[in-house]
Amino acid sequence: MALLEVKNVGKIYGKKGTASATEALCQVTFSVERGEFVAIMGDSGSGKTTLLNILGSLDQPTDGSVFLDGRDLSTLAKKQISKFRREELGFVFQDYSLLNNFNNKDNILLPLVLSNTPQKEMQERLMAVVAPLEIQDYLTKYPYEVSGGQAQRIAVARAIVTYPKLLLADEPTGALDSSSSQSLMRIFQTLNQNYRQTILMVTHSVAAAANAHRVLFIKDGRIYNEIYRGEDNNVRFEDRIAKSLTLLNGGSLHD
Amino acid sequence: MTKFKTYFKLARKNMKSMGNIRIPYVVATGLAFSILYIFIALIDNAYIRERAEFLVRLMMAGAVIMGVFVAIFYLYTSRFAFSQRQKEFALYAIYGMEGRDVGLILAVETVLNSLLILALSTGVGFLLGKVLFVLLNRLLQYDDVRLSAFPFSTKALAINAGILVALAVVLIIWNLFSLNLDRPIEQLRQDKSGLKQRKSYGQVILGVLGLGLILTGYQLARSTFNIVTSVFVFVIATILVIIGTYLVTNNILALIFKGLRSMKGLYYKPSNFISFSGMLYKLRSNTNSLASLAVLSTGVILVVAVSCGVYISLEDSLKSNYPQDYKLDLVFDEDQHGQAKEEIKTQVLALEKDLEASPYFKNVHRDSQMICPGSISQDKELVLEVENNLLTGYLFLFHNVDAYNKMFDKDFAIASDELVVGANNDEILKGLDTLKIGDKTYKVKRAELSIPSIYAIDTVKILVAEDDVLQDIARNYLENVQETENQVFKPALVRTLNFDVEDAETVPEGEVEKIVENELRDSGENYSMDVGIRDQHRQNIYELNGGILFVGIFLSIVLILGVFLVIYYKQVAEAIQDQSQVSIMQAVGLENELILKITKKQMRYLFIWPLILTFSHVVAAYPITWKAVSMLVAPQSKTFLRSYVLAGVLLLLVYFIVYELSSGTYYRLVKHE
Repeated sequence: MALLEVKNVGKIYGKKGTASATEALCQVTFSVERGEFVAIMGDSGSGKTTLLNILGSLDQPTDGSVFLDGRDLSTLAKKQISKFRREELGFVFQDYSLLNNFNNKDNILLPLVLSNTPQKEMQERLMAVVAPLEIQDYLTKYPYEVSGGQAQRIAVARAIVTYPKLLLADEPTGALDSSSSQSLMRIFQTLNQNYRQTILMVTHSVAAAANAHRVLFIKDGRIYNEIYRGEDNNVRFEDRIAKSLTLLNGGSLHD
Repeated sequence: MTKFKTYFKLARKNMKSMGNIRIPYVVATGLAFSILYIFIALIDNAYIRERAEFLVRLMMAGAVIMGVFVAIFYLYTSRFAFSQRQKEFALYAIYGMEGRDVGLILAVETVLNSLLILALSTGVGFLLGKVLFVLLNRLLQYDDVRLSAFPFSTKALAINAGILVALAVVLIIWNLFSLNLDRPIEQLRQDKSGLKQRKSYGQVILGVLGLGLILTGYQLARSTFNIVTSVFVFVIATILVIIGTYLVTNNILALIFKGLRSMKGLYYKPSNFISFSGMLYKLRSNTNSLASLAVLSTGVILVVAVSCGVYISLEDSLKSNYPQDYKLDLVFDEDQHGQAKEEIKTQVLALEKDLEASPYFKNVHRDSQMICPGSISQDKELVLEVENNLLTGYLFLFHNVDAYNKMFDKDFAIASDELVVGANNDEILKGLDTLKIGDKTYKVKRAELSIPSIYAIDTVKILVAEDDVLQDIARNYLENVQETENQVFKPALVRTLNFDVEDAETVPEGEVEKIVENELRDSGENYSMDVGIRDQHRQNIYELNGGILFVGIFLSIVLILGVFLVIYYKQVAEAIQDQSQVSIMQAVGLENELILKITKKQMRYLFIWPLILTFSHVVAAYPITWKAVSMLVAPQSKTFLRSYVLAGVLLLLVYFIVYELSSGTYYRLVKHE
């Protein structure tokens, strides 16, 4: 069974059937296997963020259902949602979303502290994520004292320190320069390949998407197309993604 | 010129669009300045000057402190608004404006703001002042006050305008220097990153310094000073405590939470984890408003307690000066020369009978007192110091014990070799078990005695067993000093008759004098007399001291307004800063309830602190205010304590009501995002 199953999910903002109703998602169906790295691409307003919010249980769909590891998210009681989000999901945001009142180490430990993890285990888990992310040197600094690329790695560390089933990333490279973006994507690949971390990433960046196994294209709230990496290397896959995007936007490949 | 017009337009548009920060800012600073307006106008007010002249001097000192407060508050709120606008400035930079242009826009905004604040503060200050003034006059039944008794004060307007101009200049320069348009993108992304955690050792030094200042102030307030220097000491102690309050709040609090954070077992618990570091984050930015709250709240309690204490004590004071309706004081020359005669005693007894026989008077009680300046020497001997100026010595009041018992409904019983001694300053009597007067040594019994307040100095009251003892003392001392010219207090043995009237309306004028003259005409004595009527005296007292209650209530309302302002603005400021934090916490999996619970806890910690300081300050200030009030009236310690408790409860009520009301604003703003 797939880790994540999205079945016929629809989302309408405003009152159904009225003129002000806006359809953000319509009949979205796809699934993500364990250990897969999936990218979702689409224009602004295509519904990517709404989709990610629903997957992250930050928002409720108006139609359809989402299953994570066989569990229907809509059956989660209100009180369970935060715990579920904290323990089963990891989030990485475009703006890092680090808390300035904690130093970087405490930012990473935040979800563990909230789950009442024993101190010894917290320390072990921290050490486990510090090495692959190469953040040892910034642990005692505050988020506002490090660069964007460093901050984003801290945010990734926070997202994976709970060993989440699914890592959700919303435009993680959106605020980074190209070299920081590249190194972040290398980290995602390492996490995916060496630690079998399942990743679902929403992105604008073709270069970032080319790191995934599979790219879903979304337009006007519908899944429009999906392409698999197959045996391609990053460069070739990037090329194919770019072509798909051109098609998606109604362009022709031959002009 | 057109360029300037553009700036003007931009500045005006900005002010319109930034409602959520601007409106509380303008309202808060406007109100702060209206408080200052009322304060200055009150000092400037002829009616107040007439009624409570000595208060005016105290109020001037108060106005200076208030002015400093308002200035700090203004700069704090303005800089807070400024720090919230980094994104906007970054956008200007992206649009291609230079620092000079943005600076000019800010300058125009500051000028417009200042004008707005001046108009608001003058209008509100004038109207609110007038309403309060009339309301209070009604309440205190000063019927003769018309609305014009609180006229428009050009002085207050001018001073306010002057302060605003000076502050505007400071603010414009400050803003210009801290304007950083070099890296607009960075600023767009993270607008509030500039604040660094302060170094611990600096905080320790400043915090200890602050504690030291506060304790020094407390010590000053406790130590014995005589009445004239104590005003000066009070001012010094107040300044020390205020500075200390700021230092301690800005440093010690952060240190406490740093300490808590370093205790790993305690720190890594869900709610502590977030609240400790949240507190540190809050404390990093600005704690001046908390310190201001402590100082203002202390002001409220002291002003309310002292003014109520004085007012309530007026009756007590009156009773100690005038135990009955009438008081007849007789001073016989013979007594003063140390040759007190039996005849005088007989004559006074006769006079007592005459008064009793008069159709107008009844309940005559005999009393005798002696007043002399002096001091107590090392070997517990009473030394008369008539030449000494009274600042170092005390005033000794000798009183017949029977008369005292009757007057105050007490039952002191003493032998002829005993004295009952009390003082309005306990320090004087420390370790005093015997007292040598002349060649006789008396045993001393200490007691709390009612001491008339007419003498604004340290006073010792001594009850003696009978008039003969008084005459002994007079013989021993007064004969030694008769040649000395003492301008301030002439030692005197006064024989007093206290009595009531049947009906105050029907007593003919000069009736008492007539009876005295009839009795003493043929005695050949040289004497002088003084007839005091309680009702007349009461009127005088109230006219003199009623102003204290008036100004006290007025001031406390103004101070409470200040408390309200600071609490409200602090809540708004905290909310604006917490908004982004709260939304991040939600995103990383914190339950809404937990976030609310923690922020509530934090806000409580934050707002409890000023209260702790306040009550500590108030307890420390108690002795010196007691002394200050003792100068004016003769307060009973129970009455005085009660007015303190009352004032404390009042402040707590106001504080919590304002806190609860404004925390609604806080949660609304925090949840908004």
